[in-house]
Amino acid sequence: MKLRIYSLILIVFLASSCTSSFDDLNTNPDKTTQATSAMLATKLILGLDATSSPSQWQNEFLVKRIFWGEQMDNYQYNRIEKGTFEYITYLMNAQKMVDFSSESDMNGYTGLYYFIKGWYFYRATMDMGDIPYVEALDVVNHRFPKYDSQKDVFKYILDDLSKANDFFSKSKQSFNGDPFYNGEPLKWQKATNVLRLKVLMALQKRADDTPDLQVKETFASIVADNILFESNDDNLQKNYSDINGQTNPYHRSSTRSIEVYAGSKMIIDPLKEYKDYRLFYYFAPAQALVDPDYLPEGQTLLLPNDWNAYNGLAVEAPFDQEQKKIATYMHNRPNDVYRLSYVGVPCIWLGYADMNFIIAEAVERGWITGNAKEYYEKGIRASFEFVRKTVPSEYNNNMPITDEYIEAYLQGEHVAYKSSGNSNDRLKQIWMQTYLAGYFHMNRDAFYNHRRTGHPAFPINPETNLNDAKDKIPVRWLYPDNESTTNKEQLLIALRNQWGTEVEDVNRLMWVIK
Amino acid sequence: MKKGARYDWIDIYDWDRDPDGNIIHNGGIPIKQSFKSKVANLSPDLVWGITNTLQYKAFTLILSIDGRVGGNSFSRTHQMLWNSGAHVDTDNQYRYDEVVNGKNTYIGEGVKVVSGSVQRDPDGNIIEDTRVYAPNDVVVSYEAYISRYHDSTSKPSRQNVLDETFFKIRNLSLIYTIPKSLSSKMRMSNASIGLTGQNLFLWAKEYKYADPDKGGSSDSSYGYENLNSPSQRYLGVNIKIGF
Repeated sequence: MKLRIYSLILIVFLASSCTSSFDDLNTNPDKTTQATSAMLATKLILGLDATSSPSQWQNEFLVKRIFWGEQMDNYQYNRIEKGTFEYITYLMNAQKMVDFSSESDMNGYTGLYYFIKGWYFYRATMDMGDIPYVEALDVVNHRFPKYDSQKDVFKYILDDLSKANDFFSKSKQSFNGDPFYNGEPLKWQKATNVLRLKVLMALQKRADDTPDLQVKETFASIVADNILFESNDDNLQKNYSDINGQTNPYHRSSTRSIEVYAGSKMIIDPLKEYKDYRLFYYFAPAQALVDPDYLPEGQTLLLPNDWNAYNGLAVEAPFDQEQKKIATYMHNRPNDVYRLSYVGVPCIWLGYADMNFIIAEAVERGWITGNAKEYYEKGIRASFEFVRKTVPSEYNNNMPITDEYIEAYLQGEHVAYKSSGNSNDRLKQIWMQTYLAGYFHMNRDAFYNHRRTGHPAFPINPETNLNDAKDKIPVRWLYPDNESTTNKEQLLIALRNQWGTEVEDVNRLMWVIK
Repeated sequence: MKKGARYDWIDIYDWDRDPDGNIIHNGGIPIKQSFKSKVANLSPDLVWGITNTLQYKAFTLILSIDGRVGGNSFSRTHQMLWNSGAHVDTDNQYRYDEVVNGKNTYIGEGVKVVSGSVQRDPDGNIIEDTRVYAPNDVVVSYEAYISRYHDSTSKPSRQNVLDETFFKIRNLSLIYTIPKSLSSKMRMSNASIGLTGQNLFLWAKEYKYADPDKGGSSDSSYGYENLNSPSQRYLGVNIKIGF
């Protein structure tokens, strides 16, 4: 008996001593064991561009500004497959970020929470249509969240963003962990309002028949409150640097296929036609035409600032036909600043130029009163200023953008605002400039814009179109795989509600663009 | 998933096919379904091995062979050999025509849709199908075709999910024991000399350019043969002396 007690004590002793020492051993002293709001905020903010699936580098193919020479790309040839809700799960962390905050920075973090929430749900609904919203984040009570109609989702998004605006405006103190605005609530408030304008403009087709969303009224009041971007300095943008881990993602050391990225006719043709110097900042001249080593017989050597050294490829043409031009170095790669500089060009997620174009469209549509021409020109100027500031002069192919040049450009035949023409012509000017300014920025927006406005029109070639409907560009992503495996009942209800059938199809119009 | 069914499936985006199983082409290019489907099972039906020691007078033969029957995995090696044009079978007339003669001559094997359309539910099951097919006759670039048919590295193509059936001679040794009379003269109690070899022979049913034995079946990449290096062949001489 005694022996048994001793052995029991020994076992208890051993067990307890073991566990404590294992605990010590298993704790990595280089990692934190406690999450803070600041840490969560950093991760969430840097993750804002994780919304594109599968990855951002394909988005320029999706919006037809780049032809990819590696192989036939699905997006470039109009094949859209499954979307993702994955990033909505990040919002669990966003809630924690608010929970961990202190009284002094709670308003800031709460504002950020609503901003991020609005941001992610906006992307998800724009990609797929109806999505779970109300029950999406409450997994404890709703294992099978029901889908909300897109109209309701937009209503909730607008509510969230309005709350974000309120919390940021109440916030007296900056919050930690923000690599973009240094936690400055005013800057975030401006970004929030710009996002609100974008969301409202996305609703443009439903502005008239959906009075309860108050699209025009809300838009007008945001513009009237005027807590908006005042220059490119306010942009919500991702800057890169030559520090390891923060480098420009298109640098050829990380994106090797950048060598076979080729500017498309979609963007190069208008740039050439408008005598737009951004051409020389966006692209590199065709190697074969400026480098004697590659010069084909019978061609004359050109200077990098010669307009003829830039010729877009047709994204809709048979792959091998255009790829031959890449094989002979006749294509225009992205400017060396994208390929060779670790600092690269910042990627804009919400920009001053874009904001001005959105407001110009609102004026043109009579949502607000104002001078559309002024906003339009402000937008163009902002884009030029951004380009000239972010692309160092060694990369500009000897075509410096001067103030005089910008003024002259604004008077150009195609660019000068067609004040005397009809409204549709002017809208097309605005949309074209939005498209030209968006090169390598927030590029899924250009897809949404195209879907809504149809301009600039994406070329369709039934011979090469990989979409099932040969004469169409797909307009949505399919619902994610795990929705059909784990939440099927609700998914089927959502499909029936939207299209009266249980068919999943990339060519069906969702409510917001009907 | 059904009760009692196997849980070791491989699901990938298979080719879109007509009711007879022919691959559907769009503009001469094969099209993948947007929905995953089960194409094979991972686990082998049988893993076997024989180790044998045969002795005849002073000679000893040690033989160990083993193999696997059934079981599938996606072979990234095969896919990337094709995708990059390094596969020996890509060196063919179509490629020659395209590169040397500058002429496209390749027509993918399968069908094309002449009219009609298909509607699917979220699982990819067909709800309504009015498609009418004709044999594919669209001439395309061989390179464009093959780089899609054997898609990029993260997108397994159906034809590269391979049967892992194989057998190999894992070990073969022939040992000669030196007669006592001879060894004792050299003050040794015993001595032997032998030839030994490992991985002398591998036969695989479908895995022609990678070792299916190494198909990442133990780590996180279960079901992926992930550009494995081949098993090395060892050849050696064995001298054993006892005093």
